[in-house]
Amino acid sequence: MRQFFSVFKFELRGQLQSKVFRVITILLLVVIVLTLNVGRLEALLGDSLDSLKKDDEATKIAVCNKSEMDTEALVETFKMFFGEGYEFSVTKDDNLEKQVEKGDVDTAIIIETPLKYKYIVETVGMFDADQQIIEQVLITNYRYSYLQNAGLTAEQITAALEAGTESDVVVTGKDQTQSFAYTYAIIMILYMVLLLYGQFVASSVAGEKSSRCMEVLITSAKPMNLMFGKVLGSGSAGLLQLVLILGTTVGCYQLNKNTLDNEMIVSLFGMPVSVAIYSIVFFILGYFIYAFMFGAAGSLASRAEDLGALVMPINVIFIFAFMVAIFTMTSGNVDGIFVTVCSFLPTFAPMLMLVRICMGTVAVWEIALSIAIQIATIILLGIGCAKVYRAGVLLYGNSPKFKDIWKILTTKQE
Amino acid sequence: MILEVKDITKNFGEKSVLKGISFSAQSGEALGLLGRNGAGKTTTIRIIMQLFPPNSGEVLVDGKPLSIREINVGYMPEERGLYPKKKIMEQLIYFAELKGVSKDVAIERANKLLDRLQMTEYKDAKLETLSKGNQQKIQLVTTLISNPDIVILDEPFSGLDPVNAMLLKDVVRELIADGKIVIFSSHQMNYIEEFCNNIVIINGGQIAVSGAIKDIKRSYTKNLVLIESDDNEAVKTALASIDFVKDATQIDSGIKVELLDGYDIKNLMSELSKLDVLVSGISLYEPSLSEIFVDYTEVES
Repeated sequence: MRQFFSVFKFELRGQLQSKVFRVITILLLVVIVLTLNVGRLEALLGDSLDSLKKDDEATKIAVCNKSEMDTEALVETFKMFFGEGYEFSVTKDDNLEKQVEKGDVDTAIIIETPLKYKYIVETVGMFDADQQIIEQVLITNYRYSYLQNAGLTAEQITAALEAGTESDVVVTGKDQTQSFAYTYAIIMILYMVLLLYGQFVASSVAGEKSSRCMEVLITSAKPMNLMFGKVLGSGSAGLLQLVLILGTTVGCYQLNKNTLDNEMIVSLFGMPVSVAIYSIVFFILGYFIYAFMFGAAGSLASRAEDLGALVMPINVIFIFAFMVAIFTMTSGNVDGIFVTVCSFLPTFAPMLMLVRICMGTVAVWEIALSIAIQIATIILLGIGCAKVYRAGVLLYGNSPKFKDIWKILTTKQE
Repeated sequence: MILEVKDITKNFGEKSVLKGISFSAQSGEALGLLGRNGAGKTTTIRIIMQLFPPNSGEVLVDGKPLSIREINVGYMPEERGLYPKKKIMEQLIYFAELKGVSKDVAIERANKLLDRLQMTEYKDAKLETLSKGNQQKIQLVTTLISNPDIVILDEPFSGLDPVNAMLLKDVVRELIADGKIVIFSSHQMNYIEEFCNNIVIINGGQIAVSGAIKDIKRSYTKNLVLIESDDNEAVKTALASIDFVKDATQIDSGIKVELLDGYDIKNLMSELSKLDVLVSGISLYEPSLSEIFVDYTEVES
């Protein structure tokens, strides 16, 4: 036990003293403080920001009407639907593509018939809603004149067109529209943290291997103590970093609650306490599962350069789990059979069970079973990793094959 | 305390690296493990250090199987290795703590050893800033900081300048005086000869010769005689006429004469006295350890 604590202390101190660790922590803290204080910053820089906004020119739209519709009325309707920030000009010139290309106007609409038009734009943005508005205007116009021709009065037409429904939504399970944002954030952070700290462990072990101090270490201490001390030491440094970051985030949020209206941030802080606790549990479990695998990979490397190839299989598994998690979230089908099965597989569980807890319907026994499977896996991986670490000390030169690793794992050692 | 290595064999795949190695060493004595590159010295040491098990045979301490978790063995591997980016003192304390030494004791011993090896000024430096020889001295401190009962040094003299080698020799002598078992491998015969009572020469995974240096030399001497004379040519002519002289070669110190089996220095003396040659000295030829080493490892490999 004393040996374990010596290793633990040494690794923790080493990690806290490392420049990379400090720089990453400080950088993250700065980003968080800046992001969450955006409201205050805007107030501080208010004037200069306003002047910036004035430079932001309105979108220029050229309208060329070839149909029998009344152009003036049409433009008025457009103005009404588009709202502020748009300038309309009427033109008879139908070579509008040139104008758009030259940048004289941003967008051009050529209306051929009441329901046929040409939309000319330089680039269509991901979230371009302009075309939808145009269609809405044209369809409304068409329906209006159609109903007018059928003999309805203006009031009747308005009543028909503006009819709406009233609804109440009762959610018995999870409201995915609410939980999506924070789940997304949690999974992203989980992904980054596990990859970062896993790699830390891998390169730390590979460093000991390439500097050859492993031979001294392994003859001085039990491999089990060395491996668990290392993984727990690095992990504690990571946890400390995470606590620092979360603390700063919560602190800044409390200070700026009223000025923040970003959907993601609001959703993130709206997460239930249970989700926050589960997140921490799955962070820790996920860290151990991957850190041991990365540690084993590190002890098989002869030099730091070999590490990339050795951690690749782990990275593939990890990224695959991440992709499945993201696809599950975006598809919304979080309780499907595939996802349910995967949420019990140790390498997928940290992410997928978390997704299911956040966005789906999971029974408590399912969570408990998944956690139990993960803990059992961690113990097995820890023992296996210590074995590989011990055998890896003298493995230099050729990269070991799967056959060799299997032999190491199945051979009895002290 | 007696360390016994008993009939150890080791194969790596198809290749048989050790084919039955046995020797023993006891407290207050230094044992030199000699052999050419690839002879199996490091493999033997690694088996003693339990880095891997032998295919057969055992390592005993006072009759019981050696466990490096129970008996404190200080080990300086052939491939030196410490943390390049850590401060000297920090890692010395760490390695001591791993062996169960408390921090205070570790600091005290580290200071003493660093002082002994004239390295005190570097104690807060990072290892990678030190020269190779100095790094090696730090490695020695790491080996000795837990005050081990058995000290195993794999090629301790490689890379040391004469002054540092002298320092290391003194430290090894102190270890012997302290009653430790010291085992070291080297191919620098002069160092071995200086303070090893016993040597083991390994060749091709087998023991070529082992025992006390004195005895080995004596048994090797058997039919070699050194003749000193002012007139070497006359001596050579005279020797040529003696039928049991197998070979006579001139070396720096005189003429080395090899006799046929069954003859010794007395036969040669009586034969020379009959001939008219002036000889200023005649003695048994004592070979250097290097000669013995080359002889054994060349012939049998």
